[in-house]
Amino acid sequence: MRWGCLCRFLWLWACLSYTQAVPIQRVQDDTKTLIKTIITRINNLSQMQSVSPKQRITGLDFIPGFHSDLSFSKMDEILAIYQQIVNSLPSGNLVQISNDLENLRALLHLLASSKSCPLPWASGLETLANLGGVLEASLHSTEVVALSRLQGSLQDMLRQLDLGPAC
Amino acid sequence: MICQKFCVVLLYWEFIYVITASNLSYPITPWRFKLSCMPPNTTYDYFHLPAGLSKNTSDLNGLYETAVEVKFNSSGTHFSNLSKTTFHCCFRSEQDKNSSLCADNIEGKTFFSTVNSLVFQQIGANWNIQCWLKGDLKLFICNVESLFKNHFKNYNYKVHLLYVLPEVLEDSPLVPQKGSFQIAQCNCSVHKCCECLVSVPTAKLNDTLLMYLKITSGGVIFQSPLMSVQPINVVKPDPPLGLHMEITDDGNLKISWSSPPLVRFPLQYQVKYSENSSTVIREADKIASATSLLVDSVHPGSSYEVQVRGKRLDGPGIWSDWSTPHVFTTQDVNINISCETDGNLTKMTCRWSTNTIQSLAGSTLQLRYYRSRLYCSDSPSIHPISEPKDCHLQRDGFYECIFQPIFLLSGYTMWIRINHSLGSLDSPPTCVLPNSVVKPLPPSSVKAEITVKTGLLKISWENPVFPETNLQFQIRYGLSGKEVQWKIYEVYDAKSKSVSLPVPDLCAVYVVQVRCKRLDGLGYWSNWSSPAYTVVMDIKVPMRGPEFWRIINGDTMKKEKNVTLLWKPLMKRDSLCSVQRYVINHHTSLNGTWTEDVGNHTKYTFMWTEQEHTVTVLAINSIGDSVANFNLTFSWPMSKVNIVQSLSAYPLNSSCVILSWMLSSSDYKPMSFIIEWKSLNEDDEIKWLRISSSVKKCYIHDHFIPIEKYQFSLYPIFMEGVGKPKIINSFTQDDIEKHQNDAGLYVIVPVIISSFILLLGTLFISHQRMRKLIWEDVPNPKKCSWAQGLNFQKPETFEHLFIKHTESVTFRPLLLEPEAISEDISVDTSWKNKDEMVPTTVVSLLPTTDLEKGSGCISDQFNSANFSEAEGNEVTCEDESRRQPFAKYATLVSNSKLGETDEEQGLINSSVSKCFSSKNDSLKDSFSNSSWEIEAQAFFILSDQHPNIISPHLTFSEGLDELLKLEGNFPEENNDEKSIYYLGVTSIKKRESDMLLTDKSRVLCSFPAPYLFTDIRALQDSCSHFVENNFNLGISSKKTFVSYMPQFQTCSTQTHKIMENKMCDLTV
Repeated sequence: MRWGCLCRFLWLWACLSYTQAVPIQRVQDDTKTLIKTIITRINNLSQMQSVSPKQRITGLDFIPGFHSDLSFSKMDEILAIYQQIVNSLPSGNLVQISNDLENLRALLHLLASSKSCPLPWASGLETLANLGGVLEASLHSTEVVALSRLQGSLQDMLRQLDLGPAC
Repeated sequence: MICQKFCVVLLYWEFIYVITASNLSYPITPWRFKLSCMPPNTTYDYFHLPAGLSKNTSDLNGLYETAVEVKFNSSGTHFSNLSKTTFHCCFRSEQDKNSSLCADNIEGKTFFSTVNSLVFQQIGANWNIQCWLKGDLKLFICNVESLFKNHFKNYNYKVHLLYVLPEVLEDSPLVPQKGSFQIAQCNCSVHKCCECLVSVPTAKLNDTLLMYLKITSGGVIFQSPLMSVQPINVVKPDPPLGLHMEITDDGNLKISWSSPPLVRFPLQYQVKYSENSSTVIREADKIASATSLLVDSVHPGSSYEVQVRGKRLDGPGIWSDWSTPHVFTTQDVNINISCETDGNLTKMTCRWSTNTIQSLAGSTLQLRYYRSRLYCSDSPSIHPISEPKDCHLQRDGFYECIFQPIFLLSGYTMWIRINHSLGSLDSPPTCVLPNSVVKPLPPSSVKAEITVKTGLLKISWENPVFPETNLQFQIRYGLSGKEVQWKIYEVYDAKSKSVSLPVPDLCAVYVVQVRCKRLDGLGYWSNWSSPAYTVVMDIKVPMRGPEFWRIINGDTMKKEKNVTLLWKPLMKRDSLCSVQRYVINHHTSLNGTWTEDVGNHTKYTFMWTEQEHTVTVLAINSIGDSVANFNLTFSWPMSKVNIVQSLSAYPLNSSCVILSWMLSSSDYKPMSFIIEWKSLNEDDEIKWLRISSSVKKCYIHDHFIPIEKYQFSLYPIFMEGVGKPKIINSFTQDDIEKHQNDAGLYVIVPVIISSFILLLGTLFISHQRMRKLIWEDVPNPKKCSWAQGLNFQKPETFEHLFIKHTESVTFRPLLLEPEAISEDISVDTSWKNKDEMVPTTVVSLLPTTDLEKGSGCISDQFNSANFSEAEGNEVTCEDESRRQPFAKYATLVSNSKLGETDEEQGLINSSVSKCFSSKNDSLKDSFSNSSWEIEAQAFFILSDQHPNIISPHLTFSEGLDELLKLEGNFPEENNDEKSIYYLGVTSIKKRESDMLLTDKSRVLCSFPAPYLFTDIRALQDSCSHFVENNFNLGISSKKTFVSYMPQFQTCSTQTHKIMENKMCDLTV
């Protein structure tokens, strides 16, 4: 417990010391811009089809769905899962989205730290260990559903950022 | 003998006493110290005595002194009273100046000097002494350097080091005997720097070496206190060798060297380096035990100068000399890396060039980068964990590195690493945030159009997909063509996607391009979008209908006439932007109003039958009819209204004619005028122009041929109809003639001027030639037999000349036969009676021209002396002189007696002018008939060729005497003068005072002499060849002469004429 607090403090200190010169307003703007950029990237994918986020698809329940109230930790957790899924997808043009997600998570941590919210780095889902099997079975569907839900989640985050998310 | 032995023993005893009294010896711990020997009266300021310490303080710390008593045995009286002087010699450490003190210890034995050394007595003597053991531990060296080199220059300077190396000094109760001291070899250089070498056995390095210095300088022997040193403690190694510098892989500067050879003990080193770059200048000293040193924070482009020295690591020792400086310059690797993120935000391209740095042979370049999680730090630094990036050399010499995919908000810290076999060096790092260097894609779907009704250039576009940030836009537009003159319009509203701009020409094709950039200024401008073009179409209804005119065909007496309407096609700027058709509106009182569509034609003919007929031409495009239209009313009554009073046409040039007119007062006010013109020689079509009614003058620009005739007509256009025209068929004649006259003037004037110049040139040349010919024809008297060997420029010559000729030749023919003009005044006197002559001096100016013909100087004057103006047929003197030269006679009649009485003669300016006969050059008059006598006056006529020979202020007699004296003294150059004249001298027995006689009028003109000569004097300026000579006629010589002066000289006729007038003025 003590080590955890210490690590959390060190992380917060590292973030603050490195980006202390960056105004928080700019961080917020960059966060929103990056979310929009990811959404646009997903839109520009040619094979992208619209899938309702509320639609339940058997076998793809591990992909996060709609969330009305998102905290920083929840956002980070969702993004970690999506990053994990996107990295698993074989499509080459998703690497950029994965990088964007990583930047987005770093921005959220920076925002959270600016609001003194202890935000540990989420490690994703352990159940995704057998994601390879799922992808083999339904690669295209997984990609479509994942990106579609990611798009929805990002829009939720965008709205939530305007409202001011909790820790 | 006993006494001698006693003395020797005493000396030895004294020496030993000196040694023991010195309280042991001066331990050489510092490697550099000073020996100072001062006279007793000298203060010890030199030693910087601390306050409160007496100079007599004994038991000194670090200072040992001995006294040297110097006895001056000088033969000079100046030093006779200086029998004995004691010098105090002290050691002083340079490293411990403040603590150095000097004690007065004069118990030492004195030494003697037999040389005058007042210098030492006054200032003392000082030496720098350095003693050390060489690094090979074999040779002990003492270096003695005199600080007063100049004073010892002429004196014998010797240094001796006396030393002894006892086994164990502490155990010995007594100091070594004097005989046990050995003398070391000291080699002195020119600069009074002596080096004493003592060989020290290896086994005795730890033993104590006792020594003292004996310095002989200027006849004075100085002896230092006793010194003691353990050689092993003053080891001074040789300086390190092989100094080398290199840049390590870590970017540090590594300074390495090697220890000096034959060093049998470990050393420590001191490294002194200085860094000099454009930004940093620093110096540092560092101690190193190893033979290398690392210097961090190496700046590219800096130069480092490094020196190293060594010293024993363990125990005391002396630093070696500094090694020779070594300079190392680091490579300037300030490479600028610029990056650009593409519009899709997926790729960042970084470019850098090595053109700015000096390439190093054998080196390789590599871009390395480190990516931070977010953003860049304020001061980017080289991170220890970095990744290389492959870069490819482009054709433009730049290396290009592509990062794809990218982390938009991660800071990429990049630098260029130069790898070389000698080491590696990194360029200053730079951090790039891909999101900040975005070059967006250009806006898409750019459209441009001229809006209908509003007539604005509307430009619309769509934003690129990325970036999601707000954008600013730049629009450039211009008339489409080969070289578009762009206008820039900037849009800072990120939400706007279209803009409308006013443009001057609504019916032209515009080309439009748009580009964008982040609104916050970060990143780059995108490329210009693809050009969009406007399409020309009807924007508005035509602004006006066409201007038109008519041609009326048919009999003017008939009431029915064919009227053909003509108009010019409407331009785009008036039609906005096209005309589909023209429509004619007719209006008559009887038939009312009707229209006729004439399509795109520009000519229309109709029958004019009624009293008044009004037509209007409308232009119609896709939008509608023209708003403002011209109309024309054809009216019989109005066609007879004449308000144009006059009309004039002035051709300005072949392309422009000025038309002006005058209007008469009338009740009708014209709305406008129609100017109509056509060539009468050809069947050209009529050209016409509508102008405003307020204009009174008009410039018509057309191609006019001057030889052709043109008809100009001016029609007044009234509201009620077309008035009566004013017609002219040619240009205004006055103006033409005027122009022609002007043209003639332009031609004639230059011709006249050139002819005049030619005439003047001809006259000048002919004058020169005539002058040359005439002078050739005039006989040269020197060529005459009787004139051989004579100098006519000497007065005596004439005397001798005439004396000589009186024997052989009669005098009269030469003097010409005087005519009986006045028997009373002219008396010729022979030379035989010259001694009996009345000494009267009369100067007569004798004209020699043909008096009857009225030419010549004096004759002319007298001819015109009848108060008439100069003869009309006379030519001025200058003109005559061009024709013929002629000789002029002058008679100088002396009257010494009168001259003696009359002493009021002023200075006479006698002048000789060129006198020529206008028609005849033969001599006509003799001396008497044309002469005039002047009482006590002398008029001496000479050539202007020798104005300096005869003094202008000579009196007559004196002047002659002077002239006689001057015989043979004429300058040689004067003998070469070509213009020679004869001078005749005669005497007159009887003078006729104040009488002047002319040959024609035979009127005696009596005038006072001063007037004459005054006038003549006044005339001297008018004759260019007058010679100014002054004579005092009052003093005449006893010799009287009758002068005879035929002269080849010209005189201005005008001058004589004026003189004549003056003379005659006096006679009246």
